[in-house]
Amino acid sequence: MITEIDDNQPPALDNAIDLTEKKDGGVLKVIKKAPTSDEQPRKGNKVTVHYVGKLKDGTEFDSSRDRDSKFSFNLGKGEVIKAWDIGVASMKKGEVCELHCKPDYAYGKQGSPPKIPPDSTLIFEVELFEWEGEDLTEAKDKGVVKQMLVDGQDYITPNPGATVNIKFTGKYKGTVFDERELEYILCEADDELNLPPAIDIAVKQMKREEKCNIIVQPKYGYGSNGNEKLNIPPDAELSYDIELIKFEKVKEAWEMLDEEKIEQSKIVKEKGTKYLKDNKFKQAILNYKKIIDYLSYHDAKIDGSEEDQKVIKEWKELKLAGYLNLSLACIKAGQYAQAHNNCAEALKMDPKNEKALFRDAEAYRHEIDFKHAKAAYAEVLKVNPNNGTARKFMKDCAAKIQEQAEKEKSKYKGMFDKFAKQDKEHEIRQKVEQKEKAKAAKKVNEKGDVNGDQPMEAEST
Amino acid sequence: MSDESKTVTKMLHDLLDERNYKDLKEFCCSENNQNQVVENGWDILTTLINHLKANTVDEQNLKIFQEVFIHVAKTSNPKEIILGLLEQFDPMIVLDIVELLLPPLNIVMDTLMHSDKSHHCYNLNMAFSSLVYYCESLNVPTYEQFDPLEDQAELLEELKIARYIEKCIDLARSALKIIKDQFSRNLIHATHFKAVKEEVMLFICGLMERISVLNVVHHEDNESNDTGQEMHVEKAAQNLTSMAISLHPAWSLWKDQTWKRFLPNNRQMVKEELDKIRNARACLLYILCASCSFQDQLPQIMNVQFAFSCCISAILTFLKATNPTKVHKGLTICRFVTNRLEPLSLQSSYLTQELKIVHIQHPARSLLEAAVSIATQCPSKTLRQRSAQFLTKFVNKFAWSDRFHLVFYLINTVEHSGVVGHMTVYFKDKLAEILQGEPPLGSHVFLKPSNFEKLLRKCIALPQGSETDLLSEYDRIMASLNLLRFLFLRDTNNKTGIWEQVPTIEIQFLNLLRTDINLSRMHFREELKKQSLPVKGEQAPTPEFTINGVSLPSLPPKHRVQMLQSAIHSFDMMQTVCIRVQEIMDKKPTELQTAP
Repeated sequence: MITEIDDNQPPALDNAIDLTEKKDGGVLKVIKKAPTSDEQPRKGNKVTVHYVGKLKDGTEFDSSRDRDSKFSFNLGKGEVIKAWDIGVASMKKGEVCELHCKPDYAYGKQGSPPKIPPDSTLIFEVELFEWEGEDLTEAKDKGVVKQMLVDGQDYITPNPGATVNIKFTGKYKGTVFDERELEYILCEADDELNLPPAIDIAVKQMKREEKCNIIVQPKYGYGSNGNEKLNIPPDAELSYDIELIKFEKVKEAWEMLDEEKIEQSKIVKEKGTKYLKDNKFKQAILNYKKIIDYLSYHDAKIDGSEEDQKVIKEWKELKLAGYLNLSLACIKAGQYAQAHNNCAEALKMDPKNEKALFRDAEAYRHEIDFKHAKAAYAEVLKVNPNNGTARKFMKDCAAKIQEQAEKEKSKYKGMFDKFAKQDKEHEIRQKVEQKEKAKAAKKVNEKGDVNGDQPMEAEST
Repeated sequence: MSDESKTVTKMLHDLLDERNYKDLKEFCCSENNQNQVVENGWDILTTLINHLKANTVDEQNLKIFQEVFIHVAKTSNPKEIILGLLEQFDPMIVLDIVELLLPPLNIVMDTLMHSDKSHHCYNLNMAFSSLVYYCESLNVPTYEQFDPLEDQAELLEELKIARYIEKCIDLARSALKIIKDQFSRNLIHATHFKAVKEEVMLFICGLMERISVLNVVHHEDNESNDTGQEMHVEKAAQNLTSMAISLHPAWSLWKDQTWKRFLPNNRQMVKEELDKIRNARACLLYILCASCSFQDQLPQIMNVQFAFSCCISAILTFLKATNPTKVHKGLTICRFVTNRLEPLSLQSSYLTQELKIVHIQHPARSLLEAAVSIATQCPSKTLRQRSAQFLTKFVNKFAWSDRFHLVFYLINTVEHSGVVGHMTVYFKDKLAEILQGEPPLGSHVFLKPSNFEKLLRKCIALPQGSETDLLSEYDRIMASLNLLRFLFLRDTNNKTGIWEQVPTIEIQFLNLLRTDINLSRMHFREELKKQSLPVKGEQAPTPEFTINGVSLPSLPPKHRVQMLQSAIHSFDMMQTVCIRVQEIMDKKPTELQTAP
């Protein structure tokens, strides 16, 4: 039964609870069925509900029950109308309630054509089933699952390269194994700090002064090796309580002027090269990628002043270097598809770039795709016939192709020989069988001749 | 080749040479020859296809061929014959022949799905990649004259692709049905089923990407489809979307961050493959937005800002495309999501920081840049107009501070006179709103002296000083003059600070403009005089003389005069407004004259 309410007056609903902070009657809740437990979802949890939505006149405009598919969303993340973020957060497990949502907390003056007219009050019957922590991983494999403990300030989160101050407690099977307060560069922590990847993943998505708990699967913790220093056995599931005390963001590209972008690109290029030399490919890739981000566009005009031309020239040189270094780092990290992509981008900027052609060839060679590698080295030699390394590798590739062909040949030859041998054996077996049969028949014939009354049919049997 | 195979091949060749298709069918389908057919299935297929490639066979006989293919598919070893079938999905083979192979392929796939459970993904991937590869080879219309407002019948190329996609969907549905059934009976594990769904999603993407390059005409309801003609591309697009929704709820497909995990994540993809997937997702969103059939699938509880942010990357993918049907699709998604947004409801920082969905540095700027490029360069007039309308409509959805920054960004970076003029008018409209009564909350950003001065100077800047081409810059100059006229008339209390800018306006704009107008008019009048003089033969115009980018000598003499007269008229108009601005400016309000 849907109760009629007036948009301008708080509806006179028995037992209705005003859920809004302002107490303006924008979201009123009437409990229809008591919860089965006192547990409540937290902000960021992925909650699962069934709902039926109606207009004030009783017209049903949407129903997950009709679709026969429960609806899931991340609570408090602005994915659904305001009324729902407020209303569902107030619900407990198993509860069924009716939410009366004023336009300001739903679709406002615009409505949601064609089903929801402008300025509509919406009434939802919602049933809350279950929820789970927020999956923070990019692969969405539940490797780092977060439960918010205290919400943070604003909506700004630290970006890779930001200086962050955190406090955390790590637990394994309920026992604290690591408790620290530290300042470090996000996504570039030194190995000595002994931080698992999950910390970076979580901190990147936290706000200032936020506190949360994360459950970390081994892949994002200390993996199959564990951590001797911290007394963590292999394949351990860990739990961390983290507080992001403060952070200082690195400026985003769009916040910078051309000169700043170029300056920052030079800094990250140097950092990337240092990481590459230290065989820290992940960090190197991260820094080189920043060059591409910073230099995605320039304000200087192509047909602008001399100063503009100078900026654009430097911008191009740096961006090209960024792609080239990134392709090298990708090859070293075994990310060959990305290496090819970066070489392709570099070649777009400079179609005859020797390094880009060479690295493309290198990526093929490492992929053990000698045919393409050989062709790619040939391209390098077209640009620079004196490139000895390319010539050497091209010869190597040709040899490898030959070697592979020989191997295949001998493999198939062996196979054919084997088949031929098998056929021959089969033939011999058949001949032997035939001979034996013939012998047996002869014997029977001889006996028949002796007996003289044996029927012919029996012979064959 | 064994003697038996040689005999079969010879027999086939003889029958084909004689075009004795009835006997051919009898030979292949006869019980007596089953062993030979089973053993030589692949060869039979190749021989028959080669014959079809080399000869024209009528429809009736094509059916006979298909019956043979189906028989071979039913009786041969499925693991082997699937390779033989897929080998024929070669771009060199015409669609009519390839279509004959789809039903037999369907049969083989079904058999394999039943018999070879452990290799579902392998078999699906192998078949799907061949099907998509062939689809990509089919010709796509060029759409040179594309106009979304024009009612166009479906083109032959569109029909062919749509027909092929429909058949591919049937095949995938059939295989998926078998696997779903196995899953429901616990014959396969959940992770296995997930991997199967990922393969199917990848296949849907492959085909959807093909739809993205076609014109998908939508009919709001049956009535508007006057012709009663079935729209094949629309139907294929809808069927693909339905299939995607049968695997994952529409809501999850809509969300940018959940989309990726529906695809196999263990494969390294090159840029081209990633681009195709981006296009496929954009097209899927377009179908969800534009087709009435899916209205019920999208939950009516989505936050409109969130819904919009999920579409940004898709919109950008389409708006940056050169194919006009993609641009049209991008603008349609734009309209669908922005119409639901209330004015002032967006914040740039919300899009970039809170949601973190869009891996684009500055989504709002990127969208505007893409729209500007369409508004100024797209060959279709309708798309240009729609894009220009989108510019101001979109900026209006943002909070006041973002509005200011976006307008400044556009005026500062865009060089197209029409766009700058358009944004100058927008600036004037916003100032009118602010000056009307109590300034709206947050609008002070426009009145902050440094901001106002910065934007005003950009609006009144003459690109080449007194040598600016007044005709090509006509829109922006007229918009600037109107802005000044409006401000000097309306802002008598100097809320904007316009009266402090008088010296700058005079030196940097009006004086230069007056000189420019006088010089240009003199120049044009002289040329007009030259053209109007009665001379023997045709008067050759000044070789380098151009009017708004059009070379005068390239025009017929009659048009030359008209063009010159019209240009002089424009200069006169400009001067009239210029004089008017000067007049109002000179009448400084008395209260302001006494002010320090």
